Amino acid sequence: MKALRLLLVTAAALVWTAPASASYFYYHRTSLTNSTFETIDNFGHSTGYNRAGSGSGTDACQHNNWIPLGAYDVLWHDDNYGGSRIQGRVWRLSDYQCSNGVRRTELFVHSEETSGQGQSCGPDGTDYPFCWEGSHDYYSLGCIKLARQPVPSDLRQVDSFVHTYGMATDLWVFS
Amino acid sequence: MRAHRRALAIGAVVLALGATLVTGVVTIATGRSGRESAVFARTAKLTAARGAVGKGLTLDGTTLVTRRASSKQPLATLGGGDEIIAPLTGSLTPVAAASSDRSFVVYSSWRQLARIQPDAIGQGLETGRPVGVPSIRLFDLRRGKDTLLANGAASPAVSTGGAIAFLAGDSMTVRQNVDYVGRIVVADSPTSKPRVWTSMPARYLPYAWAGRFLLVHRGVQDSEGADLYAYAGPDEGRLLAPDAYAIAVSPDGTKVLAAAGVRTLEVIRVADAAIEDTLSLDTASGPSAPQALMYGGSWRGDRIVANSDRGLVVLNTRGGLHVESVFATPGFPHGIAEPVFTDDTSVEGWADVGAQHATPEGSGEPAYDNALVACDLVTQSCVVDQANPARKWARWVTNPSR
Repeated sequence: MKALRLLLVTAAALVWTAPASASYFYYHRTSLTNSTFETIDNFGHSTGYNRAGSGSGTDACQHNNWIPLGAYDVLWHDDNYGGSRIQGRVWRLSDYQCSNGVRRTELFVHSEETSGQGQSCGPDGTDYPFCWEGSHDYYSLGCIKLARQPVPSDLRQVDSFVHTYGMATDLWVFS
Repeated sequence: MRAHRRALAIGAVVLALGATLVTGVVTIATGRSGRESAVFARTAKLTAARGAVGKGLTLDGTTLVTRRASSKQPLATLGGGDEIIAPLTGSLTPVAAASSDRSFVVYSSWRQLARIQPDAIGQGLETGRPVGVPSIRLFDLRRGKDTLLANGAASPAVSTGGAIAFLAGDSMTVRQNVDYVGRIVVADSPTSKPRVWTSMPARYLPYAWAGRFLLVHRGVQDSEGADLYAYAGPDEGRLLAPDAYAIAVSPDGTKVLAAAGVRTLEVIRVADAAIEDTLSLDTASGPSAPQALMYGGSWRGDRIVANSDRGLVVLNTRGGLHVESVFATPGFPHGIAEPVFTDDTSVEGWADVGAQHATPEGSGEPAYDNALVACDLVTQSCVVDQANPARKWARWVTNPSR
């Protein structure tokens, strides 16, 4: 009986000290539309590198430009977000105050899809907000964007990874 | 011989008078001076050197300064102890705007509450933590008096008639990861009581007046972007363009150039939101073609100047909106921000300058010093004023309202 109790205590201690399963985003910021995004869990599993983009200019301390370097909290994740400008699989990031005082807010990791994870496209020549048409969709107003096409997409790979290996808690943006 | 010389002299005088007369007639007829017909290079590089940046009203941190050709005079210390920065808008809207009669300046100030840890996750701030208090203040240039208009307020715009609009926040305090929303209020003059112009709260950021219309960026909840509206009165807002920001207002105040969806430029009639002209940056090609134009530009005659990821861009509306020139700015890491035409060929603005300053552990966004800049687009040269640290903003005090 005493041995069993010791075994249970030891097992509980092992569970207590084992790291919780979690994932981390890494964004290597090198260009507006052709940077790399990687997801790694705390056991070393990785998605490999996915192409990603951010911003419409390279002054990180002004609104709508690419995301500033640093470490962000991933505040929440939704698989079926129904926002007015972004929908579907999204991750909300913490606000960032730059060295010049300017605050960057409303930052996400997302793509261009509907809240049902589908595509809402139209005739060629128009950029539809919930349709991934091509490389120009990597431009953003500050958020990090992943491709939604081809299927299976980079967005799906990242989303499947975090659902398998643990939810993303932090984002590291580096150059 | 003498008669011949006299005849030559009289002829020269007549020719000179004739040329002056023609120039004058052209100027009166077109509203432009001869230099505007100066042809800019299609692509060029602007050189940069230290020097006097010219005359005007400027901010040097918390000091309001009047500059002459080669000297500058401090007028007052602003802010009542706050910093003179605009964290909620950056260069999307001016930090300070002067009235058209130069009798007062309305400006943003900021009291920082939270200590930012630039290398920590989430900068060491938990959700809901108070970050700072934005305020709007007015400096009376005639009386030399500084007045607080509102705490918990941001993004002022001053009309040519002296009306003042700004965002009055629902909360005094900006909090981490919490949307800062409020209502637009408008005072007809510096001494008038402000009236509420929007009954529903939102992230409104007034930019400028275009005649009787107030141009406003209305933030959307899940984007750092905004929709561009024109307000004619209380709750009389008209959507000009979704996912858009204003770049410049036309000289007559009837049109605004906006970037819609980042990659499309539109000339929009303010009164009815009709799109008069459009230019897709996707159609531009070549290594110097801009990927996007920044807000905070200016419009003079047919030309519009704006900052971009490729440098200073001059657009021309004559014969259809097109990119006339791209001036690379290798001396400035982020180009020349908030460029304003001071005459047909000269531009003033500000720029990040010098080497970057890393954060203590090197993982956060580095800081840059900033300085006033003045450029001649014909000689392709800029002069740069003394540099200030990142949170001591150097800015020209102008006004995009028309």
